[in-house]
Amino acid sequence: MHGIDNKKIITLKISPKLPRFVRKRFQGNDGFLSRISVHGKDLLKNIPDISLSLIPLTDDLIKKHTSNTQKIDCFYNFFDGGFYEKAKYKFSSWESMILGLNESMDSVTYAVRGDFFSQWVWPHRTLGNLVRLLFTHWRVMPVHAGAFANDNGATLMLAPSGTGKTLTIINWLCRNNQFYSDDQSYIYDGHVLPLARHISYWSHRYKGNSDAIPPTMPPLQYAEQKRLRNAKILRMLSFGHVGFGASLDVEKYWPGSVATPKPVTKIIILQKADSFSIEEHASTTEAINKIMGDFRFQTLPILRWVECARLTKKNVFLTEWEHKCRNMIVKLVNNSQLIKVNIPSVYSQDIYSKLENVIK
Amino acid sequence: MKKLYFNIHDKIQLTWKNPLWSIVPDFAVKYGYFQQAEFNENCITSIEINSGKPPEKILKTIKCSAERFGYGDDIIQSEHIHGRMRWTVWIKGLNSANVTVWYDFPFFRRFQWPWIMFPDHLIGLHIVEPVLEYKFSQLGIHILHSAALANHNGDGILISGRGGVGKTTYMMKLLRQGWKYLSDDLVLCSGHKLYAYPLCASFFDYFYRFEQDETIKSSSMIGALKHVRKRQPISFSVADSAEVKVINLLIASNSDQSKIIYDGKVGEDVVDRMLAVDKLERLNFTDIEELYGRFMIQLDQVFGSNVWESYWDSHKQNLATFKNLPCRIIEVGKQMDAGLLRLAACPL
Repeated sequence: MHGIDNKKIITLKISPKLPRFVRKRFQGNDGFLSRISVHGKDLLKNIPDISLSLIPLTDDLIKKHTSNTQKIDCFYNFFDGGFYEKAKYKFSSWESMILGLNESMDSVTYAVRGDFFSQWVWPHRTLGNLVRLLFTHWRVMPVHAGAFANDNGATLMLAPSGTGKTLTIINWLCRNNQFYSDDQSYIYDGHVLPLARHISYWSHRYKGNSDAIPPTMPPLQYAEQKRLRNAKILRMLSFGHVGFGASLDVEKYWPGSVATPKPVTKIIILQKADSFSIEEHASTTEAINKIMGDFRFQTLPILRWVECARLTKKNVFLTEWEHKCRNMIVKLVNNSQLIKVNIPSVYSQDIYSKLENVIK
Repeated sequence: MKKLYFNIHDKIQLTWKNPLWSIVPDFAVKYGYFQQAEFNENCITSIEINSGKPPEKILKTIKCSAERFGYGDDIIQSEHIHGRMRWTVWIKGLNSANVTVWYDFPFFRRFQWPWIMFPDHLIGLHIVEPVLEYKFSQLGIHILHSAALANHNGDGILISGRGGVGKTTYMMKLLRQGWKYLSDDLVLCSGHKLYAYPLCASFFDYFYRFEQDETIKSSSMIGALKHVRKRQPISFSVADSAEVKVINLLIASNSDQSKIIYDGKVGEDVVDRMLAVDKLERLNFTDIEELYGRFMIQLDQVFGSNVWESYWDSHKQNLATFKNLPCRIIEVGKQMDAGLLRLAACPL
């Protein structure tokens, strides 16, 4: 169904000079970063093949592009074609430099160095946002929403984290349905792209609620069990600072459940309440503000890069970025049916069956 | 019951009931200039900060009782999580003249790091300052990320620039020349009028050391803690408000020498750059979840309001009133030297 020739891949070249723990982190079984690959080559034929290289950051590079005056915790230095960023998050700190930022945006280099702990942080904070920037530049819009496939098209489910997106997806998949992603959905030209290959499964969130997970849930395999056990230990050792869940490989647990690209027809806005209720006609402006607010929350580093570009008058093409993203969101919301759903804070099979009717 | 009263320029009256004990009395130092003995009834807006949960009667009105976010009649509830610091906040009447805030966190948390060290600093940073700034923006007052100085005639000079570019250094040099201090980091601005806020120079920040040659160098965490104990007040004369007459914009560069890249009147370009400086200030941190930027974005994200965009629209309109004022854009070189002062010397 999804042969390798149907894939469009952002190639990630990893320099052998990087430390081993970084190389290991990004190597899939086939030596490539298998996560950043998009099905549906026909849909994306206007997008060129993009290459993203990951190299170690050297003193020479820093000396060339930064000034000595700014010795503070976090700062950003813009130059033509890229920028240098020094960042800190909780216990870890790292420095990174992005080179090859120009309007063609087809080969970008990401240079990074940081302490041991930062390996869990910069992939999400900086590299993840660089990938988001690349996607949005090529009009692929990331939306923080779960995406379901039904007969008519695709349904997006917007919700703040912790509301029950992943639980609904797991229930949906256990009833032999198809989906696109549980957390980040990528939308191109009104169609959802089946990009995510994994579902993030945080078992401790559902602990004590036996009614949340359906009885048909496939048993966790050894690798995932081990990962959840490690997560528990790390969570205890770090007093709740560091946490991760197991990522369940969709093809392994629910084979054939990833759908082909379909247009978005429905948007469901989930929010927690005392009891279950459905509002058929939700406000368009509210939905746009919510998606835009969520998008800003997810892409704070990019907002910062954009403002730096505006301040220094370098990389000027970035300044239109926020406006471009907003237009894509407005178009998406205007072309689909909006439904607001209030769900109680304790998830159950009963709630799922009510939600299923709305999704279909 | 212990109460702290802060009257900020007769605009906002802040009442903090039962403030927490802390080793570093950060909020009181930062806002000490505004502290008063009694409640001032002249203020347009009053904000009341309470510890503990709001009364049952108010809690019952929250219809959407979510774990993290909820709202009811005129009340917003949100749970802040930052590492192991977690607390819940209720804000009542955010859009009215009298705002009441409650914060609550688990009892044993307050004996853990970093609560035990500076709880009122965290409450100030995460709760009080965002609410203050939101209320200021409703009163048509914007907070600019700039240093500001005034002379004895009440004419003001505004020095805008990103963190670390040299605003404080430059300001200290002008203070030595007899200028009066308004601000070195944030300044309240309504039209052309500048108001001092929060009146505590950021060389009191624990990460900087102020040396004899008047250059600021970052120091290690341990060095910084030593500095907290040894910090000495630096005396300078203070102004309360001023009228903007001159604008300087500092931009970091890689060149060795400082140089002027623009000398003329404020135009569209300068307004755009100053707006970028202010936005960057709200988006500055990678790891702290407070600050006004996050507050605004969270209101949009969860409640579907349009605070972020409308705030920056009105902020830009305010900056646009600076048009045709004399302005200099200076690229600061690697060496922050006397040349900078010469270049930025203002015609006042």
